[in-house]
Amino acid sequence: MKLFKNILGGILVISVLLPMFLFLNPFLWGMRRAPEYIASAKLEKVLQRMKDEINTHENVEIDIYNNEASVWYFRDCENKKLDSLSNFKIEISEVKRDSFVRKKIEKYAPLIKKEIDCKCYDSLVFTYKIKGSEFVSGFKMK
Amino acid sequence: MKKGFLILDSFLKFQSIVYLFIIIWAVLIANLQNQFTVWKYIEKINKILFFIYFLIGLVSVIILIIQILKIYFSSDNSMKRKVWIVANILLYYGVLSAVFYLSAQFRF
Repeated sequence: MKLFKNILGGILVISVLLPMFLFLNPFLWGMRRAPEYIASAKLEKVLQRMKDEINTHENVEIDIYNNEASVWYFRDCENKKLDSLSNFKIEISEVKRDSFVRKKIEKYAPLIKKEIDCKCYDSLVFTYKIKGSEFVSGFKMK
Repeated sequence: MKKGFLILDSFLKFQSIVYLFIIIWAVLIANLQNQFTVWKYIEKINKILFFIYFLIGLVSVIILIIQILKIYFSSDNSMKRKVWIVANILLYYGVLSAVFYLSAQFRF
């Protein structure tokens, strides 16, 4: 019984010490991930609808994680301390038909703008690559 | 063997409350970010709290090990304390995660 108690104690001591390899690891602190933009449920719904419509003729993914979303960005925006506002970036993966995607973007841009906090973003910037082309198309909507 | 204050029931209770407070603070910051941004000193407060919580994380290692040694490697047979220490170790994991999260909430 005493041996079992000691073994259990030993396991507990190790379980307290092990996380310190992470906690006191300077590399881990250096590599901590910057907060990502997390879309609201309504915005996600709009983007999903847009994606579904585009995907009737294409096969694309829409990403918005690459946006300024840190707590201090919004705080500075609230307190009017920002020198310039960031754009809200919407990245669409490779597309085949430029005109079709443009039409959909024009249709959905006002809906997206309605769902994001427009006060803290300057414009919507849509980017996508056309299949077979080296260039990345992008346009800005105020 | 004279019992140290570190394994008194009241100290164990205090320890759990401190850990819970740190975890709840991080959860609040994570879930109510927009409300917190309204208060302009929140970033500074988070910075100070981060360093305090970081130190609590470090001190906890020593405290928990002393507590384990005093309870599991001695004649103390209190089941309540044994379970409480395990609960505190679980809360300690929560504290370390909360400290990591808080470090992302201010500019270095």
